[in-house]
Amino acid sequence: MREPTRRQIFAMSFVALLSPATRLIPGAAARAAGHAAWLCPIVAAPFVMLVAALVSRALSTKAQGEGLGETILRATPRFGRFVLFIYGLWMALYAGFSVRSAASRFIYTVYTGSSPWPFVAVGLGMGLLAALGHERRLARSSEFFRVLLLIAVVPILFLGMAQADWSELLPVSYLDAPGVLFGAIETLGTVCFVIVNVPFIETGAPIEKRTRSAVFWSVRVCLFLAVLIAAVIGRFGPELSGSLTYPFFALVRNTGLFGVAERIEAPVTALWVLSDFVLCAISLMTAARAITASLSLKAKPERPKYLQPGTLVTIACAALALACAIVIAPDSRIMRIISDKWVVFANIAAIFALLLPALAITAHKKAKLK
Amino acid sequence: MRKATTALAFTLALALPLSGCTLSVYNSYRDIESLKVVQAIGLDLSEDGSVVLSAATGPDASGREPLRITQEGTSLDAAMRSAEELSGGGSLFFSGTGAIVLGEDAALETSRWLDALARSKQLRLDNELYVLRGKKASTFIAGDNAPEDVFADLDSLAKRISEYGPAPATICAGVSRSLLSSGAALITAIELEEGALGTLTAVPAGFAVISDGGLIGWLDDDEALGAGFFLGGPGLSVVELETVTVELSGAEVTVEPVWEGDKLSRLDIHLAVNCSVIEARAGSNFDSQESWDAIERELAGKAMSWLESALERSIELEADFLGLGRQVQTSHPLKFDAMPESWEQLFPDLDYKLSGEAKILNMREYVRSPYPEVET
Repeated sequence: MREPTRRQIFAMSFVALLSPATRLIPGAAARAAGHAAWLCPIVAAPFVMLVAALVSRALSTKAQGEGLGETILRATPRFGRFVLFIYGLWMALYAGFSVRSAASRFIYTVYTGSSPWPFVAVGLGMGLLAALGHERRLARSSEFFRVLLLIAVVPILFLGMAQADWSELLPVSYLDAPGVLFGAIETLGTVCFVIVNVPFIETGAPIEKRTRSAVFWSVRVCLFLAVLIAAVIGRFGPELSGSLTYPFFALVRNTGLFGVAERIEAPVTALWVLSDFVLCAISLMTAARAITASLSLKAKPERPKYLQPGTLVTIACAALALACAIVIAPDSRIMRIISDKWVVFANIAAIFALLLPALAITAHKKAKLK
Repeated sequence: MRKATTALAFTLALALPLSGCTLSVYNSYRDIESLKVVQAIGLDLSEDGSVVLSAATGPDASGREPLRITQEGTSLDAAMRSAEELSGGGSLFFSGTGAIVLGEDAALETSRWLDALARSKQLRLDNELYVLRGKKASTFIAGDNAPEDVFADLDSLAKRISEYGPAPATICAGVSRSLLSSGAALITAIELEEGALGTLTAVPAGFAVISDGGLIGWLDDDEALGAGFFLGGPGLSVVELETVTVELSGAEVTVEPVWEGDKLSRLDIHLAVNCSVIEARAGSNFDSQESWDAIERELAGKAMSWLESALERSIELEADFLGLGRQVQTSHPLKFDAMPESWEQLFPDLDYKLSGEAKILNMREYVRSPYPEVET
């Protein structure tokens, strides 16, 4: 079977999800839903499953070598061209935001007082290298990264839950419903981000029973996020969790491994680079593929690889990402406002107002295209 | 082949900086042998409101004497840095701190320290937190008569109060949670006594009551035992009754609000305690239901009196450190939100009704003592 395989697709999705999910979801859910914050991913789960099913249905007509962009374009050429171009630009900007955000996290958690630019330069450089390569390399790496990240995150969540104060989590009532629903929006946007973006580079052979796998993956991820939030809220309570910049990393900082190892935040934060790297690479790849498809740029066999349209568009996207990373936030206060407010809702708008209508049309035309 | 050789050379080049810490290309690594790991810190206030930090390291395998240091700074971080300057060779490693002791004056500004801990790069919110009654924390951490291993002293105290009551030692994160959700919190209080080795040793002294961000009072003896029922249980507290000695083995408090329309008219608080009889007089005979009932009634009455004294103190100080408001809110959220008076307005005049029961789970070895009664 041509890669990326189903296993690799979900590995990429999980690895790319960890960075924005740990940055945004615990704090946002605590602010929105208080003690009931851990319910936000569970409430978001059915909607996430629907989006996952819609993406899988849209992909059911794809040919080997095609990704989601090409599939959308075949189903709705004019509207699809417009959607893909705008979405591609947004993803290029998002790649810049993601590396700047990762740099902020590094500065905040480990390298206090450092300049963000070395982190931005290295992150974007590595992301560009990956984006210029074949997606199967990123897919294979993600399988390995997923194991490493799980080795780090599972003990933290286990210890976090073991030390949680359950009275901070229970009981919950239907009065918490408005807050939980509002908090679920953030989870929905973050999980759907990887669900819709990874398929842009899903150029392997069509995956059998993709809908079922994607729906099960969505359920697993939402449960994982519920445990993650519960561990944070159970330790710090909703008020403090909602105030902390990186509540998950505060949990990591305050977790010791049975007296054997203390201060594990540095290696854990370092491991999160893997997630930042995959997220940046996927954002750049998605941006380049969406723009290339929207402009109908075809590969030119007579040109060397570095002058192929796809390569040039990827480099242009990386340049746009760099510009975005440079101008987006002069300090951590503005970075937090942008991260918590603007980017979250811009991302939700880009997915639900722009991409999902195109996906719905693509899924609807499935039979016709077949 | 050429690619493989390049990759191998690159990998080997990456291994170069892994040869050691002190000569590494990185500058943030420190030789572990030069670290002086701080295990306990004390915080006091100077007359002008500056931070007086005292720090104690533990004895280590190399035979180095534990380091004691006291430094002043305008902020906690400033005091930590100036302590490092005076630490001599090597460097102070505050990240290993396991316990924080607030002097009584510093406890007046508890929220200041919690805020500093939440932001700190080196100190953590999962440290145990104590308040030293009536003294400066530096007396215990770095004073002339301080214990040789301050952290070991505190650690054994934490184990004792967790096992025998009134409640497990408080943790900074738990104090933060309570302070932010209920507006008040309890911190384990300690006092100093001269131990068997001639040095000072920490002994439990109830709880410090924190409200409005600072110390407002204390819970002693019975009040502390009563509060312990809300803070993870009183452990295996030993209780002397008229005819027997019992060891508590679990307790549960339930809080049920009584409503009159929208108004909260009363709280019904029920306490259930279990115990084991661990000592009785020689010749005693408890081979009847009546004798068991009498012990259970006496214990229930005693436990309720502790609970009542904690509740009375909470109402007197207008500090809901037992988290009653939060319990009512979570069990009856609609009615809580619709109350004509806020919980804060209602709390000082809170009416409550106490009930309690005790159950003997076990009477050690026998109900009828085989030994003859001692004539006195």
